Amino acid sequence: MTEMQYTRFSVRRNLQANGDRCWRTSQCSLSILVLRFSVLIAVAVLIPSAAYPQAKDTAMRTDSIAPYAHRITLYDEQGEVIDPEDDFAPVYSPKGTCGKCHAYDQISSGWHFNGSDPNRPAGRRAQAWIYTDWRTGTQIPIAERDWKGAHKPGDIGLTAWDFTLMFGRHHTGGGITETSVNADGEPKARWAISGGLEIDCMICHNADGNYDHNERVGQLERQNFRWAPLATSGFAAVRGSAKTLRDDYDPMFGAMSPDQTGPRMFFDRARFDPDDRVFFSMAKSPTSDRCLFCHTNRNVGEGVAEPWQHERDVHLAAGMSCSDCHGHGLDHALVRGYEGEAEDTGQPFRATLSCRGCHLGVQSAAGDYEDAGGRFRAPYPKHYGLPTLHLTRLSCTACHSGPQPAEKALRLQTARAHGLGLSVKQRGDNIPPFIAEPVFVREENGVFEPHRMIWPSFWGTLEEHGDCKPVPLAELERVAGKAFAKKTASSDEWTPLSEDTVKEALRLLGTANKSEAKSVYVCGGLLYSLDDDGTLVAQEHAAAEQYSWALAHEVRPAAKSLGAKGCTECHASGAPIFYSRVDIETPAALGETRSKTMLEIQGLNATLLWLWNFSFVFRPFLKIVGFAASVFIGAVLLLYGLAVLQGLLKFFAREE
Amino acid sequence: MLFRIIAVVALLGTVIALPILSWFLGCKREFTLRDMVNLVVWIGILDFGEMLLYVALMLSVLVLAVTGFWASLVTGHEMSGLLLMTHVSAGGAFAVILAIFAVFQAERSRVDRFGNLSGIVVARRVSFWALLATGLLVTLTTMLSMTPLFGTYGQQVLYETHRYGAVASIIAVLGHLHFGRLERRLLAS
Repeated sequence: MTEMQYTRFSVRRNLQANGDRCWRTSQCSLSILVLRFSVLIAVAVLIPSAAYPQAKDTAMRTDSIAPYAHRITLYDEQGEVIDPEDDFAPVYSPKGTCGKCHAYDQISSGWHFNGSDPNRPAGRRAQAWIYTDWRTGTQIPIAERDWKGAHKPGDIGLTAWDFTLMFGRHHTGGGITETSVNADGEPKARWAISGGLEIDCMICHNADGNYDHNERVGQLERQNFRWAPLATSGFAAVRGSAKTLRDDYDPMFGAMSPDQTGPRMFFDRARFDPDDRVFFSMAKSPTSDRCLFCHTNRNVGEGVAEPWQHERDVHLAAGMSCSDCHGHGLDHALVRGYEGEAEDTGQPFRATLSCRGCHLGVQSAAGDYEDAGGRFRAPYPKHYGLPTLHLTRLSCTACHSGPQPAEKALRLQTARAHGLGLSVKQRGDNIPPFIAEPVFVREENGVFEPHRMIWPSFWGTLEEHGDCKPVPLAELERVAGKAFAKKTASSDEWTPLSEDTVKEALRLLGTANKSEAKSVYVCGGLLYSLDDDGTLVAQEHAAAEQYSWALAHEVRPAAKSLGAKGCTECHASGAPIFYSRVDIETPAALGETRSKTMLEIQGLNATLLWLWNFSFVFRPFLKIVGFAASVFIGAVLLLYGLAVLQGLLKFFAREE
Repeated sequence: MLFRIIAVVALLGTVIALPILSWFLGCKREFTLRDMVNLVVWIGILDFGEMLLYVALMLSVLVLAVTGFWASLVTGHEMSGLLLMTHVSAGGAFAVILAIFAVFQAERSRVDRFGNLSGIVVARRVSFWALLATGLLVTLTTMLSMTPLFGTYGQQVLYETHRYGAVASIIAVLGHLHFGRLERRLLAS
């Protein structure tokens, strides 16, 4: 949004406030209104630089490690001071308030906010947002970034507005949830009423635990985007809903109508000091609890231990926090901590914050390891009896992270996919999207790494040249909506799509489809379509392939790492790392649930692997033979070496 | 990269240096290109048992060299999969063959009493002990890595020692074959 546009908003807001006040007090006169309007227009035209304050190089700074007491004045997005005594005070803006000292533009280039910026690298594939609708049997990974297997929001017809309403619950704000305020082509968007969803600094940096995330979700549901940071801060209660306002509501004059008042703020005066400043309990480095709101995961299903029985990540248990490893500067380009990040970013320092960087020291150019731990006094790993091959062909996480692999991969629920962290009456174990972990995959560089995995399910069209594109959600509803069951009140009451439903929906989509492309349903690793007889046929297709991303937490202690019990924990027939089964769970019931072994997912040669594992039966024999041969050769060398020594002694004796 | 350079230089240097060394040791007729690339022809003049032993030793060394150096010199990655399986299997065979080789060759390769032996014979004998020593080194470094005696750094040292030892072992094998052939020819004449 440009400065001028912000200023225009300011004009509207002030008029709204003034108009509302006039309506309520009956002191409004047209001349005053016109006068104020004229003055504000003049301000907007003549002093555009007065809009949205940017932190300048001259902004005050402490340059101290000690935290700064953030007892500060609240500002709105144009930098106007918020007076809590004013019934029509402007809305608190993190951009306007925090941005006075901390360069908002620089912050907004960070990983949490820059997904929609095409000038930023996509980065290594990570957890995507997952659009889930059990009614239509859809679970599809979507990401603003260019990640293989993930679809762009626009691919399924999601606008920035839709995206914000769907995923704003676990979004920091910023990115398309903020910058799309002036976007065209969003028919349902009500940005002008709701405002944009600014980066809410306190969502991460709140230190005293009173950030009310559920309040944020409530505000977003009411489309009070602009008011959400204030409501969650606790400095004011925000009542009313932008959602209930008519689409043609004009912030400039609409407020003058008594039934169109929109969101209202009721400041908690006790939180303001005599100078109308408030105290932000800030943590320069976010506490782990703040990170975990959006990055919580839990395993569900049979045999999964209760949460209190779980051990925490060893690093957290040792007193570390997420930000110790995933730190960043003002640019918020936080360290992701994976192998190769230093090369990807061209910033060698990042290597020091990887597993190896802390525990082994940074790998030198010569390829050998420094004989010391790197950072945080991390213990140097013992790895007794572990040949070095394991350190190059396995990621550290393969042995040390995630749940211990078992006969079958576990079902996983994540905060972002399943709304963990939000208070609901019931959250069943058996609700889509279905994510499995740990799934050991082989990366392109041959390294084995544990991943979390989902098989996409969506309706699409198969082009003649083989591409499969998702059908936009609105079009799916319009064309095939009647094939699906009505929405259920509770997520636990969902039923998987039946084969008949899939057939009917495909028929409807096919009838409406005037192009050469074939209507298809991607589900469970297969692509389904109707043949000429109306029979459902399945085929393999790249679009149906699984989407997976690396897992790194919870990190288990060494004694619980894979291989701690010996070589045969992995090198044996049936070892979970290769033979664990992954159920391909989907929101549709199309035959029996299929499953794959990790071996299949890794694309390894089963015979070779069997041979290799089988050879470990003879490994003790090999060791005996090898050592016996070595002892014998050593004895021969010693015997004849002594003879040489004797000869030398005799030689020197003769010389004497 | 350092290992690649050292290994390639060492192996190429050996192939070039052996005939030159032979020349200095008195076999001036042997300094021909044909002889340089025809190191193992002399096996035919050995008795069957000895020939079998040499063939087995050379085969195991060849397999070990190809699988090992293919990974470290060509692909640049550590061995895995089929290469590793083959390498480990051949390694076990190599250890046994080397022990048997020691039984049959040690006494006739004594270096504590040379007498008036020619330089070629001395070179063959020294190369035999070098082969035995380097063979022991590469075998032990592998066997020890399978025990819980060495940790992360120790394993790295074992691995580095193993691969540099393997280069030395190859050089010793080449030397032994070369000087053995010359010795046989010398004895035959």
